[in-house]
Amino acid sequence: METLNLAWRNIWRSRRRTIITVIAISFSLMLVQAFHNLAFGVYAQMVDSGVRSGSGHIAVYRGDYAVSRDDRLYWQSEDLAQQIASVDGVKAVLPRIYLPGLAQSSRESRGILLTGIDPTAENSINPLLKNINAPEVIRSLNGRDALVGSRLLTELKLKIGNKFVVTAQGTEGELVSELFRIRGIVKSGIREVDSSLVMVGRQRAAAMTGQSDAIHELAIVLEHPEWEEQLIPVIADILPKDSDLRAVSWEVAMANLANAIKLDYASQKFIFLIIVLIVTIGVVNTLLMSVMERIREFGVILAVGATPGRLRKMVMTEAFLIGLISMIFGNLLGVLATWYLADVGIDLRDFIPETMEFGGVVFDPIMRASWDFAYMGQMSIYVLVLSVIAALYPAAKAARITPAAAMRHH
Amino acid sequence: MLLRLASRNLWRNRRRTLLTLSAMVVSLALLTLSLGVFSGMLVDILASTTEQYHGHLVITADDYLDDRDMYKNFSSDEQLLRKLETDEVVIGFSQRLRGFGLASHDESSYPVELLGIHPEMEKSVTNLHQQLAEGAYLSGNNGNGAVIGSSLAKKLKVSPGDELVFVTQAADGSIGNDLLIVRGIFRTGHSGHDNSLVLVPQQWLQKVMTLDGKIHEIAIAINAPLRAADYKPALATLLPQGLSITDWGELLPEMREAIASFDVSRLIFVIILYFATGLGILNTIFMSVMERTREFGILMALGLRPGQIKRLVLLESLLLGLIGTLLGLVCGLILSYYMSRFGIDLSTWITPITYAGGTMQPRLKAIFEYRNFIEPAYLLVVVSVLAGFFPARRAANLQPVQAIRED
Repeated sequence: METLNLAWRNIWRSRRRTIITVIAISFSLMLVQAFHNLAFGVYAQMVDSGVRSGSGHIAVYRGDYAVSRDDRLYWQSEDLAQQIASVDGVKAVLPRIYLPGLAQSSRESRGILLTGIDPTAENSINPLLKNINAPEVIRSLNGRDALVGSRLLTELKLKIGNKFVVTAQGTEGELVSELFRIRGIVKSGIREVDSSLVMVGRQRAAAMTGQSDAIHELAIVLEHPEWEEQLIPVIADILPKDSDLRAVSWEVAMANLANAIKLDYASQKFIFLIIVLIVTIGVVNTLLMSVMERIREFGVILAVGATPGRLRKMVMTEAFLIGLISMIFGNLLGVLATWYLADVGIDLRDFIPETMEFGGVVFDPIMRASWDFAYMGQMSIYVLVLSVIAALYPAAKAARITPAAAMRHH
Repeated sequence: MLLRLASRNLWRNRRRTLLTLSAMVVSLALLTLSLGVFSGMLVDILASTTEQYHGHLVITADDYLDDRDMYKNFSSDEQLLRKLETDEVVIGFSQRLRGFGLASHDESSYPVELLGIHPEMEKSVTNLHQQLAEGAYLSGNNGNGAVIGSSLAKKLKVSPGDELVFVTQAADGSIGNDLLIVRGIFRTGHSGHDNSLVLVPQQWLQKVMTLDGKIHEIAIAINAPLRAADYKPALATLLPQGLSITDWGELLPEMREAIASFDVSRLIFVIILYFATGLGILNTIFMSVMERTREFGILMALGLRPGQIKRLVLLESLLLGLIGTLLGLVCGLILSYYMSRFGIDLSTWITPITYAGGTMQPRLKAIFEYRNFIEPAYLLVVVSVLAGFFPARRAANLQPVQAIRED
């Protein structure tokens, strides 16, 4: 307690130095927290829109479809979708079939990905369909209604209401053609999607393979993304034991998105590391200065009977206190900054007029933070530990002082 | 005299100066390194679509790029080609015909995009010939060889020597089909190209599509890809009526934005880092001023004017800034050189990532870009002087008598 008291008084003896150090540390803590929370929010948004238009948080595939995309790996879903939908925490189960094919209008032909969906399940979940109005939705599982990517529509020189033919391969490798009529246009902002997407009722697409209930994927969207890990084994249990069906997480099914996030986060961590390094050097410098300045004083303290261990403890306590104050201030600033970023966000639309794709997902131009309290707490403790570590050298220096030499020092 | 005094003052407390310098060196060196790596990524992404497919600029019939309508074609123009050949900026160009259709082998059929090319010309624009995983590149303008993407080859289960049937809509309204022999397989890491791109001899494709002597585009490679938009107007004057030229920025607007926004993020990055560094410098200079209160008092009593005291302190921080910048630049150059020579391979950790319409390879490699060094260095000097300003004012405002009395 006495040490604490002494240390407290010591750090306020040179108020300006302490304040500058505290500003440096707490500002850095705020930056790290706010930027992490911003990235956390943006990633969550990307994952959300990615899983809804893509594989779901958890996807069920046959064999290695997640990697090979071998379209022969289709399977009969039967009542599996309903069974999985009844699991707690599952928001929606979206059966899909994907067939690469050729779309032909009277003038042009283009390679496409024919995507068979379940319109009633998909409409409220899939962000690709959020701008589709009621008169444009696909009406049935086996009708001829089709939604077409915006760029594909221009390239094929078609309009809403026009008919076109899709040719894909059947089970035996024979070519099967099917006529569709355009109901609506999908404009995602992702070049690849807009120039190759044709969305139709699931059974009509599946009929081209010869089996009208065939699907490639059950995309499972969860109520809470963090339940994914617990729910994978639960869903894996429901899958028939004798089949080669597998439940995989979106990180496997959408490696592009997962890797994009990984890489982005890694580069952010590198930036944090530089900041932490600079701040640490700053703290060492400050503490060292304050020790060197007080050599004479320390000499006196030692001469009147204090042990070197006690001096060391005092310098460490000073560092701890500086760390503690910085931690409190830093958290305060971090919370304020995150609050702003979560509430108002950063609007990129003025900088970047185009839609930006990253990892196969459209990047929301309004970036919003979301709270990651665990990380904020972790960083706070980290700052505290760092301040104490930074004090090791200055403290050792103080403990090595010999009273006689120190008192002669000016 | 002030300069000598300033440099002596800096070295009076060597440990403090060295620590402050090390903070500056660390921030500048790592900053330039990471900016170099980021620039490297952007160049990589840009190259993934321009140097593997589009070219930096492309000449087409008016409006062809809007819908890639096969009837918006034009005849090869000798005069135009000669002009391109003699242009100083242009390092290569390739005439291409494009066709969409279905490629089949045994029981598999997949949609493909065919580019009918002259192999030698194409090599001067795209680098697909350097990315062959199997087999060989096309050798002549004739024949029915094909070079296809690796994912497509895997799905069709073909290897060099196998036959492919290609079916498409021909210009005369009939269905064109013919046989191709797989010669080579390329792997770029760009899923779109690996999944659907097929290179074939131009004459073969012209015959299948009944478009004899016609092409859809001339893809151009230039020596400064990032300045494609600047060169466009000059090249546009070479074109006859009915043709237009488009740079990659117009082809891939989202990539242009991504590259432009790098300038903004670079600035934000630099400011954040320098704020922390600047506070460190401020602290140091402040301490050294406070320590020397008495000394300043004596200097003033000896007749030094407040302005001179101020200049002395500013000179100290400027000196500190210059030394830190110099050392930081040297370290940054060494680190960047290392990262540009060797790089870091991430392919065991992640797969290629699509970004703004391009593909980022899983590797970190720095490139040297003038601005990545100049701007941070310049700003660090500015930050040091700014950090010295406040302490300098304080030193200049001292009252000699009180200052001397202080212990």
